[in-house]
Amino acid sequence: MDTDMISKKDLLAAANISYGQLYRWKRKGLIPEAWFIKKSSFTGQETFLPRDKVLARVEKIKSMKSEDLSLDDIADAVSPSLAEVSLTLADVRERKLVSEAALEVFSAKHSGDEPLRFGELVSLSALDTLLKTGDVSLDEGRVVLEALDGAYPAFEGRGADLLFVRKLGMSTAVLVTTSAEVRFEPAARVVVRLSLAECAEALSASIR
Amino acid sequence: MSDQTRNDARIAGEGTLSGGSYGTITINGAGTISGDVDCSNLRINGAGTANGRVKAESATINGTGTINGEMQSAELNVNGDASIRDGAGIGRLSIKGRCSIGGGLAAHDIDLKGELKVGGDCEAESVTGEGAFAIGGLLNAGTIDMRLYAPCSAREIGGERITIRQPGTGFSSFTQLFTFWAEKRLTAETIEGDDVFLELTVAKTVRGRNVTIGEGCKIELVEYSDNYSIAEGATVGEARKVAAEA
Repeated sequence: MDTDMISKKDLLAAANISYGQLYRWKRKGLIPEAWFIKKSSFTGQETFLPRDKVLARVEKIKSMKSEDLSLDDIADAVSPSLAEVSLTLADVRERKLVSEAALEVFSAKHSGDEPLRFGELVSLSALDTLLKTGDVSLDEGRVVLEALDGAYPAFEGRGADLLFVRKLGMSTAVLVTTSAEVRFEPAARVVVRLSLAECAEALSASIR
Repeated sequence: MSDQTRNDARIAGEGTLSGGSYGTITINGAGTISGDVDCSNLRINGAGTANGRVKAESATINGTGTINGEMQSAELNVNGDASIRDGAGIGRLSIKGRCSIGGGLAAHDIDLKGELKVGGDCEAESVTGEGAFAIGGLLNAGTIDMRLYAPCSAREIGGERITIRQPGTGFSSFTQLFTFWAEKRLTAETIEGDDVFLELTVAKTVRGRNVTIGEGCKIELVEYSDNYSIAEGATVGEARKVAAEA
C-alpha cells in the first residue's frame, strides 16, 4: 500500500509544484477529491495520494498548460462534463468508438436517432470495455447496462465504480461511489471493478 | 423545464407557496415554499422557509431565510441570518450577518462581514472580509484575507495566498474593547499555501513557500521552502526549511 501512495509533501517535490497549485487544481476538479486520502503518520495526520495516478495527472495538466489551455479546458478534458457532446448511435458506429457487439447490446435498449447523452455514452463505453476484456458475456452485458441505466444518473456526475460480481453461476452488477470499500461473502467473486470516471476520460479523449 | 414564461409570485403577510418554476418570488412577512423551487430571483424580506431544493439566478435574504435542502444560485446576498441544510453552490456570496450551511459550500467569491459556518468543505476563489468562520472540513481558496473578530476554526486550510489578521484599528478598536483578546483566534490542524501570513493562529502544522508567523500565533511545526519570519510574541515549536518546490 505504502509504495503505491505518495504524501502530499513528496508529491510537491517530485512534481515540482506548489501548494497553491495543488489546491487550485483540486478546486477546479482536475484532481479528484477521492484521491486525497488521510492517514495518520508519526508527524500527525498526513494526506496521501495514489502515486502513479496523481503523477500522471500532474504531468498531463502541466503539458496541457504549456499548450496554453485554461484550467477550465483542462478540467473538461480530465473530468468531462455531461454537456456539449452530441453523438447519435449512428455516429458512434461510423466512428468505431466501440465494438459492434457492444453496440448490439446497447441498441436493443436504446434505439432511435436521438443524440446520446454523455452518461449514456459512458455506459456504452463501459459496456464495451467489459465485453472486450471478456469479463462479461453478451447476456451479462445486458445486466450491466440495466445497472448503468438505472443507477448511474442517481450519481449526478459524481464518480462511480461499476462492480461485476459472480456467485455460483449467478451474476449481478452494482454501482458504488469511487471511494467505497465493498466486501462480499467468500463465495462471491468480484469479477471486475471499473471506474466510470476513467471510462469517461478515455471516451472524451477518443471523441476529441 | 418548459419554455412557457415564468410567473412572479408574492407572499405578503403570511402564506405558503407550492414548489415549481417561477420568475421572481418575493416574500414580505413570513412565507413558506413547499417543495423544490426554480426561480430567477428569490427575495425574502422577513422570514422565509423553503422546504426543498432552491435554484435561483439571484437571491437576497433580508431577515431570516431557511432552506431545508440544497441551494444553487449565481448570487446570494444575506443581510441577517441564512441557513441552508444540504450544501450550497453559489457564485457571489455576500454575507452581512450570519450564514450557516450544512454540507459543503462551493462559491466563486465570498465576502464576509459577520459569521460563516460550513459543516463540510468550503471552496472558493476568494474569501475576504472580517468576522468569524467555522469550517468543518477543508477551507480551500485561492485568496483568503480575513480579519478575525471572534473564534474561528477550520480543520484544514489550503490555497495560494492565506492572510489571517487581527482586527484593524479605527472603527473596530471600539468593538475590541468589549471582546477578550484570547477569544479571537483561529484554530486549524494544518495550513498550507504559497504565501502564508498568520496572526492569532493556533495550528499544528503550517507549510508554505513564504511563511510569516505574526503576533499571537502558536504553531507546532512550520515547513517553508523560501522565506520564513516570526514576530515577537509568537511561538513556533520547530521551523524547518524544506527543499524548494517550483
